[in-house]
This record gives sequence, structure tokens and C-alpha cells, in this order.
Amino acid sequence: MSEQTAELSVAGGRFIKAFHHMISTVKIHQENNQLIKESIKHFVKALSEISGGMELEILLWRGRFFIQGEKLHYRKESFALINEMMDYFPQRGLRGLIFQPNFKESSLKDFVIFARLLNESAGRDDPPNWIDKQFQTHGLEWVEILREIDEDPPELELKRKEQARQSYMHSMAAVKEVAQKVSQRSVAGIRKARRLAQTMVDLVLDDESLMLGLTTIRDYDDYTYTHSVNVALLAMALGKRIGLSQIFLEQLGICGMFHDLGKVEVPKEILLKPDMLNTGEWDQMRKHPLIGVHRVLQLHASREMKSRAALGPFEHHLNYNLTGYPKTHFVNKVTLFGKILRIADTYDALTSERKYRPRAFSPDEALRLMWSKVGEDYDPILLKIFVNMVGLYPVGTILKLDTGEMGLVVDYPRDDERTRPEVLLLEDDGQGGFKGGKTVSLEERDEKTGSFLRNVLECHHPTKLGLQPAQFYLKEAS
Amino acid sequence: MASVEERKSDTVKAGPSEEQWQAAEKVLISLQLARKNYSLYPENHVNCTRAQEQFWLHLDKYLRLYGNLRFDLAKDKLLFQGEIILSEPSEEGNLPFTLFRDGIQWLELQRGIDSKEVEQFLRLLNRYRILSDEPEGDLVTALWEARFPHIQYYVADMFWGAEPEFDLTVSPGAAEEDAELLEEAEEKDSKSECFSPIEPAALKMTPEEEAELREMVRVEEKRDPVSEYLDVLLDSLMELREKENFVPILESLEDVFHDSLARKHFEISLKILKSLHYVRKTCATESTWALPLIDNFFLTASSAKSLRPLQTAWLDMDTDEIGQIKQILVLLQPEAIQTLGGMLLETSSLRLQKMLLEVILVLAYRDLKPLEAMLGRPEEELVQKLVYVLGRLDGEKSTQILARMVRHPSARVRHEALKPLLSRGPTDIKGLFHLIEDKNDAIRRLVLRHMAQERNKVTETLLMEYLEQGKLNRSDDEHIIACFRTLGRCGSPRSIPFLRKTLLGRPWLPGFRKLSYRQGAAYALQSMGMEEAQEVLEEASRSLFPTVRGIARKIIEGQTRQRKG
Repeated sequence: MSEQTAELSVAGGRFIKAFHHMISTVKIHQENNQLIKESIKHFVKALSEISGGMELEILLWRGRFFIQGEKLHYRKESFALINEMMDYFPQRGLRGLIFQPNFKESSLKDFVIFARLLNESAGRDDPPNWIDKQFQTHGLEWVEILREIDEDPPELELKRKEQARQSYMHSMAAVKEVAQKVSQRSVAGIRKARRLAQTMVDLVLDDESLMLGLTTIRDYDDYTYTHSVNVALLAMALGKRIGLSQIFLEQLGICGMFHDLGKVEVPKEILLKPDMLNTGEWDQMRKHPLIGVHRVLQLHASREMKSRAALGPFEHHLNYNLTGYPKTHFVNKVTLFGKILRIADTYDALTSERKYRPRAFSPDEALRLMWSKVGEDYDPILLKIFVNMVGLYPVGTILKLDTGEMGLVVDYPRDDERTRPEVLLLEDDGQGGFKGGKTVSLEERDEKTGSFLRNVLECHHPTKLGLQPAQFYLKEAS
Repeated sequence: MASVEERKSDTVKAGPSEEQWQAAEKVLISLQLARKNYSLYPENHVNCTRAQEQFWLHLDKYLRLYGNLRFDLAKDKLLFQGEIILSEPSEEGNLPFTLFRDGIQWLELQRGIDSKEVEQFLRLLNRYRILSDEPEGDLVTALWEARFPHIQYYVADMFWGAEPEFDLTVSPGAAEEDAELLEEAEEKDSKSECFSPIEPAALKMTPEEEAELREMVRVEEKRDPVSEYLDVLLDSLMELREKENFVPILESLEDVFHDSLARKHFEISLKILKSLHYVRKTCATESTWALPLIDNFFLTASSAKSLRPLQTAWLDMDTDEIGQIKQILVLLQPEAIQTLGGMLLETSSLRLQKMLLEVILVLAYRDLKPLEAMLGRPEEELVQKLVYVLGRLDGEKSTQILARMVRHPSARVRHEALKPLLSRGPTDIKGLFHLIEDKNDAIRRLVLRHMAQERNKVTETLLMEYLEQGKLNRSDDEHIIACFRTLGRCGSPRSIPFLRKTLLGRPWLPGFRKLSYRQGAAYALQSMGMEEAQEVLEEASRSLFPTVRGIARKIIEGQTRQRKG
């Protein structure tokens, strides 16, 4: 998360809390009660802080709050409160609220009226219409409502998705272009790749889930290139999690983008061979990290950049305990970048459909398989963080739920709890395929019994349903 | 993220007042002036500092009065609130083009900007004024890296045309046609069931792990990636045994080597050379084609161009660093002597000179030719030092060269060459005899002292002939006496007749040398310490000629005094 987004999230959290406190206090107390005065004071302060003198939009979309178009990240301790607010809005047919800068001119009484009207609207026939009229009647011109029927995602969200989609495609094209150039021994610069990596860093910092969603993109004609971009994104997201600075995230992204540059030299018959490779073929395959280093050296780039970028090809098949390949004589430990790339590369490769494997592993299977080699093939700390990052059911996993529904994991509502994701329920599109339905959180509980509304029965790889998960994330953008 | 946050701009959208327009113009003019100064003078020049201050003052004034200042960009103009405020041809170096070229669509300077940020911004503008051949960076990258808190911009995806995109709605693979196969595979493939579920508790980070992670990140961000890069290159050399791959890796190593010397990262330079010696050994049997390539690396590394950075680096080096440099230099090719010789002249530090001489010695042991070639250089001081090194090298070849060097025009060089020559094994005294007439006193003394060390027929004959046949070019008494004294020490009874004749006989040698010859002969006889010689002296002490008698008596009295006391 970038610094600005992080600040917005913190301020957003305070705002939601103050909002919740205000409407709760107004429910209980009389207008002249000191607690009401205090709660409104806090609300106005939080509103002023977050709006910064501008219009403020708070929006609930697909189970997430967005403030000024930014997805609100929240912590475990505020989850119950956020959940209550997530119910509060739909109960009133509201999708969101817009506060105009002139709210500062309003009196304490106006805010009490505002809160009471919102509270009272729940039982009305057409709550949004009722609220609208009441706001007009009471002269509350500084606040507007957004109705639930409006299904458009937040503008910034759309913009970001479009930017993410384009960056992905452009990155793929950039990797392909560089790979082809180095393969033809012509000069290949990495200016484009750097600019793209920078954009991807910004996107990963601002919306990790979106970028993790993109890593489910698969293209079997251009496997190496989608894989390269996926590895770059996964590596950057993991890098972000462990606190690498943006400059290092960019370098890590470049390493990821070019980690398989040596594959260009491996004959397609070997890469796509459905059977086991013979010794000669295997030897050739095992050379690709070294050839990749060689190709990185050919890039028209600074020494510093090359010295980082060469680690990607060289180390991505080296295990944590230095087994794997290539054989090492001088290298005596795997670098942090190498350890990250090893994890990202394996995860993406395992979850991809390959000719030599009867089927791809589902994301959770891949994680379990990798976990079985923790401390041998993978750095224990980094793998732990990686699993926490992608969640036990990573984005892109198809879940069969105990309700009989099928859902696609799209996000996790909380950064610190990765066992109950948000899923996009999949509905029959009437043409033998699926369309996205509503998004639900698996953390939702039955109000009466307190038990979870939905539980996971089975996990599947999206290819089982012939799905390209990214189409659901990026649908609105494309 | 600075590049996309259009929403963050709170620039006033209403048309500008006359005052606001003028204020924006002033900012722009001062910015242009600052850019000009930055392009003409070094960044810390007073003109740059002044221009930067002026720019910041105008900018600060504007920001305080009117809020954020945003310019929209076209390739040949800057627009302020929709109107052209600056128009310049779309050429390298011009402000609109510089910004536009890299894809910037608008640039906004925001309230809160301080002079430090302004200074860095101007430096970047200047650095990327002209798009260089620099392969990967540009102004946008530089701005992205700088993360200026008060300079926002928006960048267009300038690189991209209509790249083909794949259709995300299309199934990536084997849904229907392979469905059966997949199910079958799933039945057979029970692999995944073998992997235990991951317990959520196992994913909790312990405080120790968190600390370890922080350390890992800290080390990663602090470390110089060159060390790992080097290992990767070396491992690639070990494993990629094809000529086509070998050359670029060696070129990269060369690049790292030069950089390591320039940055005083001597441990890296040393590692490269040591490792390449190791790689070379491993190539000796199967990859012999690699040997000349590696040798060529060492040759290039030994060149003046390659080692030049050392000369600036060692101005403030400590003993350890000098020790490291020595280790590096001794791993080079003997051809490095040419470079080291030059460096020898350019340092006044005795420690460094000593180190360089020791390195030259080691390298010359491996091959004398480069050192020999250097001896023809005109610099007397250099040649003298190299001859000193040569003198420490055993072997026939070095003796030959030293013998040649005793004919060098420089007395210092001749002296330097003579010392080791005289100290090693049987000396070719005939070859050196001419030095008894050397212009340099020290050389003459050295040769004579050497000849005086033992009784030697060759030396005796040479000296007798020299003195008897009047072959002397030098005529000073001191020299003549010294030669006689030497004859006394190296001579045998064979010389006594000659000495007797010189002391007592007539006709006398011409002119003023008479006395010195008699004196010399007397001293020679005394030095011989032989009975026959003493008899001649006794005889002389009874001579009718007062001069002869006086010389002999003086010596005999001296002998008597010596015996008594």
C-alpha cells in the first residue's frame, strides 16, 4: 500500500468508526445529551480530516467500503464494526453517501437530524427516496445519497482495473519483445520494462488483491510471457508484504519479468513435450537459467540493473538449501530476491496447465505441495508470508460451498485473516458457461445462530470449469 | 502513486487573473533561468544556487497566493489553465519537449515544496535535458524514484500502440474437450491428497521470525548486489562452456573489475582475479579454447586504462588497503609492469613505491620481457628502480641485462646495476673493468672495492696492464693511488716487479703523475703483506732519491706504529 493510500485507510477507519459511534449514540440518547455532542464532534472532526476541504464520497461496493474511490483496508479489531456498517447501508438501500465541503457550516443539530433520519429510514418502504425527501425537507444540502441500484463500481476502481489490465498486457508484450530481441542477438533496452514495473509497483502498493487477481491470467500460446508477468506480480506482492521499498520492488519486478529469458533458447519441442524429458532434453532444459543470465547480460542496461536482473534467471530454480539447478561453485547462498522468485515461480508454474502434467494444481493444492517442502526448497519465513498473502484459498480458486453454490475467490476482506475469503458467486449464464453473481464474504454469519452462512466443501482449479478468473476481476474495465 | 493521481490536484480551475498569470510566468521564467544555469555550470556553482533560490522564491510566492501550480504539456508548449504560457520548438533541451518526450502530460508543483525538493527537481531536469544513450532511465523513472512529495505528474502510456491482447473471456485451456481426461486424471492423481493441510497456526509469525525478516530486508536493501552478481557470472563461466557464452560473461566481469577498482571495492577485484585463475585451471584440459580468452582478460585488466583508477584511489589508502592492492596486482599479467612502472613515478609515497616494486618483482619473475622493455624508458628514476628490481631477480637473463645496464648513460642506473652484478657468483670482471674509470666516484670505488676483495689473477693482470701501459684516461692522483691499492690487495708476487719498477725505477713516468705512481706502488706493496713486497719497501727507504725514500719510510713508520700500538 502506498503511503498516501495507507494514510487514507487509517483516516477512513477513523471516519467509519466515528460514523458508527454517532449513529449508535443518536439511537440511544436525546439531542442535548453530552454523549451525542461528543460523538458528533468526533464525526465532524473525522469528516474534516478525511475530506481535506473537498467533496467526500463513501461507497459500499461488492462488500467493501471505498473512500474517495480507494478500497478501505481494515484491521481485525475494527472488523466487527465495519461489518455492522456493511449491513447498515444495504438495510437502507444505500450504496453510499457524498458529503459536500459545506458540511462545515452545519450545526450540531443538523448532524443529529442526519443521523436520526438514516437510522429511521431502515423500516421505510423506499428508504433512499424517503431519505432524499427528508434531507430536502430539513435542508441538509451538504449530504447526498447514492442508491443501491447503481451497480457501477467506483470510478477510481474502474480506472485502476483498466490500468492494471493494460499494464499486464503491456508487460507481457515488453517481455516478449525483449525475449525476441535477445534471441535474435539484437539490442534490447529495458526502458519500457522499467516503466511498466514502476506502474505495477504502484498498483501492487495500492491494491494488492487486484494484482494478485491478475496473476490468474493464463495464456497457453504465450505461457512463458504470462508466466513471467505473473511471477513478477507475485514477487512484487510478496516483496511489498515483507516491506521492501519501492525501488527494490521495481528491481524485483524486473527480475520476475526476465527470469525465464533463457527459455527462449529451449526448443519448443522440449518445452511442450507431453512426456518425460530424456537426459539430453533435461540437460538442455536445465541450462535455461544460465542462458537467461547470458541474455540479461546482452540487455542494454546499466551494470546495477543487470546485476539485479541476472539473479532472476540464475536463482529461480535454486532451492533454499542450494539444491536444484544450476550447479553452483561460487554462489553459496540464495539471495532474498532469489528466494522470493523461487516461491513465485513455483506457485505460478504449479497452478498453470502444462503439457507434461495431467492437470494443473489448484491454488490451495499448490500451496500445500510447496508447504511440504518448506525449509528445503523454500525459505520458511517467506513461504509463510506468501501463504498468508495469497490466503489458504488463493484468489482465482474455485470453491464449492456447502450451500451448493460455486464461487470464485476474489479477495480477502481483512489483511490479517486469510481463511475466509470473499467470493464471487458463479451463476449459470445459460450458454453452458458462468457469469458472475453477487460477491459474498465467507465471514458472514447467521444473525440468529452465529454460525457461518457459507463454508468451503471443495476447491478446484478454474480450468476445471473452463474459467479464466481474471475475466471476472477485469470485466468492468475491459 | 504520483503518476496517476489526477484526483489529488486541487488546482483552482477558474480562469486566472492577470496577477496570477504574471506570477505563473515569473515562476516559469525563473525555472528556465535556473535550468540554463544548471546546464552551463556545475550544480554547486554559485550561479546555480542563486537561480535555484530565485525559482523557489517565485514558486513559493505563487503557491502561497494561488495554491498548486499545474502546467499541462504538449511537445512544444506549456499550458497554464488551458492557455499557452510557454512555447518552444519541440527540440531536445527545451522544457516542454524534455517533459513531454518521456510521456509527462501534466506537472504540478504543490504547496509545501521546499528548496531541497526544488534543488533535486532542477538537478533531474538538467540530467535528463537531453535524452542520452542511457539505456533504461528517463525523467519519468527519475521522478518515480525520487518520490517528490510536492511534485505530482501524470504520465501517458507513450510506449504503447495497439499491442495484441488476448481475450480474457476465452477459456485458457482444457475445459470441455479435456473434461473427461481431467476427471480421469484427478481420480488417478491422488498426489494432492498426500499433502497435509496447512494448519493456520503454522502460519503465524513468531517474534524471532519477524526480527529475522526485518534483518533480511535490511541487509538486502543495504547490500551491494555486485558480490552476488559476481558469483552468478563466475558460476555461469563454470557451467556454460561454450565460446559464444564465455565472451560476454568475461566482458561483464571486466566491467565489474574496473568498477570495483574505481570504487575501491578491492575485495571484489581480488575475488574476480583469484576466481578467474581457478576457472582457467579448470579449462586447462577440456576447454583449452577458453585459455586465451581468460588470458586476454588478464591482459586488459593489466592495462594502464584499467589500473588508472588506483592512482586516485590510493591517495588516502591505509595499510590494509595497500595490502589488498598488492594481492590484486600480483595476480595480473607481467604486462602490468608497464602500467605499474608509470604509477611508480607518480607516487611520492614510499610505502606505495615499496609495494609496487615488490609487485613488479613478482610479475617479472613470471616473465622478464615487459620489465626489460621498460628499461629503455627515458626516465632515469624509473629505470633505476626497475634495475633495482632486476637486481633482485636471479638467473642468467637478469645478469645479462644488468651487465648491459652498467653501460647506461645514467650513473644512478649504472650504480644500481653494478651492485647486484658484483654480488652474484663469479663476476665477469673483464666486462666491468671499464667502470674503474667511470665518471662516478661511487661506481669506481665499488668496482675497485670489489676487485680488492680477493687475490685474483685476472683482476691483477687487468690492473697491471692498465697501470703499466698508461691506458688511464683518468689522471687524478686519488684514482691512481686507489688502483695501486687495489692491485696490492688482489695481486700476487707476480706484480712485485712491476711495483718495484714503479717505485724505484727510472725513467719516470711523465710529469706530475710521478709522485702518485710511486706512492701508489708503495701502498700496493704495503697492502700485499708479503715478504718480498716488504723488502722492496725497505729498499726504497734506503733510496738515494729523497722522494722515494720519504714515501717508503712514511709507510714503514706507519707499519711500526701499527705493530706497537
